[in-house]
Amino acid sequence: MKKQLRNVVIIALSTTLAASASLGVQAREINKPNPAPTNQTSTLYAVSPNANETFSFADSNSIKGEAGGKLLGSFDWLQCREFNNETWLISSFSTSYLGAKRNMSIQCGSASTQGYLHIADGDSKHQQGWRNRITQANAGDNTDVWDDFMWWSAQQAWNAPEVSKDQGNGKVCRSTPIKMYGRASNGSLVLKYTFRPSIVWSVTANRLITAIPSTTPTC
Amino acid sequence: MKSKVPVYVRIEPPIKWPLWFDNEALDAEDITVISDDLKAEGFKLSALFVASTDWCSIKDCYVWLSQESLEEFRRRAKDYCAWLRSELGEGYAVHAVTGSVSVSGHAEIISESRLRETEGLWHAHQCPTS
Repeated sequence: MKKQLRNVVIIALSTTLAASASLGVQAREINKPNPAPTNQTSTLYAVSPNANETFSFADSNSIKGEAGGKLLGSFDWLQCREFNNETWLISSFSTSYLGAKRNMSIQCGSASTQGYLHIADGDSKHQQGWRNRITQANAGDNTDVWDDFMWWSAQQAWNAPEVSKDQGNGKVCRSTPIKMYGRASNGSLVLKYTFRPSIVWSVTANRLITAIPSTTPTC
Repeated sequence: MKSKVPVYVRIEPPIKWPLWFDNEALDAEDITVISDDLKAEGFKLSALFVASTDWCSIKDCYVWLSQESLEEFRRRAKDYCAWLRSELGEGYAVHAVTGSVSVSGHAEIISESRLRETEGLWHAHQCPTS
């Protein structure tokens, strides 16, 4: 009875959120944070020199974590964690590959296969790795935006790769430098370190398989 | 009391260096806290996973070539993690892993603490492989 009631509540909530979720996907496709200083807590920025894009941790921190966050909204959370909907599309971006237009996406996936849950919950502990990358730049920074940072980095690697290797079986591994900046007391940007994540995509299913926050490309 | 540094063993191609330290070392390969022989064994364990599996394009995951491949991987992973614990000593908490097979027949790398859940079990997969 209790479980039935819970399911009714979940379905009702899902219906309510459906409309806002479709708008959310569209809004998330473009991610060009403003690198201007803000009065929010984090002073970190990630810069993709090859793509000329910037990720502001302060901007991302202003939106709450996994259940109500920027990458994984409430409706996505339900699909991934309650309904185990492996092919649920969390976010996507338009691109082309070998001359053909396509949308590359991140799906719920599962811990042992691909996608968000593989990166978040898999025993390879990539979520911890992405969190470590934030604290490596600033020990006290909020790491709850690890998934926004990961997905932003994955898109930079796809769009402006320094390394791109066909791994066979419809898999492509790409990497690009990501430079992590903090702010000095005088407000100037200070380079903390550079890393080169290894991002594996399926170009048959057009989705992210895994995202490894490696120091050097392991493709 | 000083807390232990978590160390994660990551077996997942294209990763070749399997260690991730939850301190400033992260995935640095030039660490001095383990021997060169153990470093080499880490690369070999990652390579063994590649040699023991094939790719399932439908699910975007790996499948073991055979039950024997899985068992061999389990043995090597167990020995590697024990060796790692031995060399790192008390200051580190090694999150050891082992091989497993899901009910749908897909290859999994799981925490060694879950070894008994799937020990000795085998499920055939339905994936067309390369």
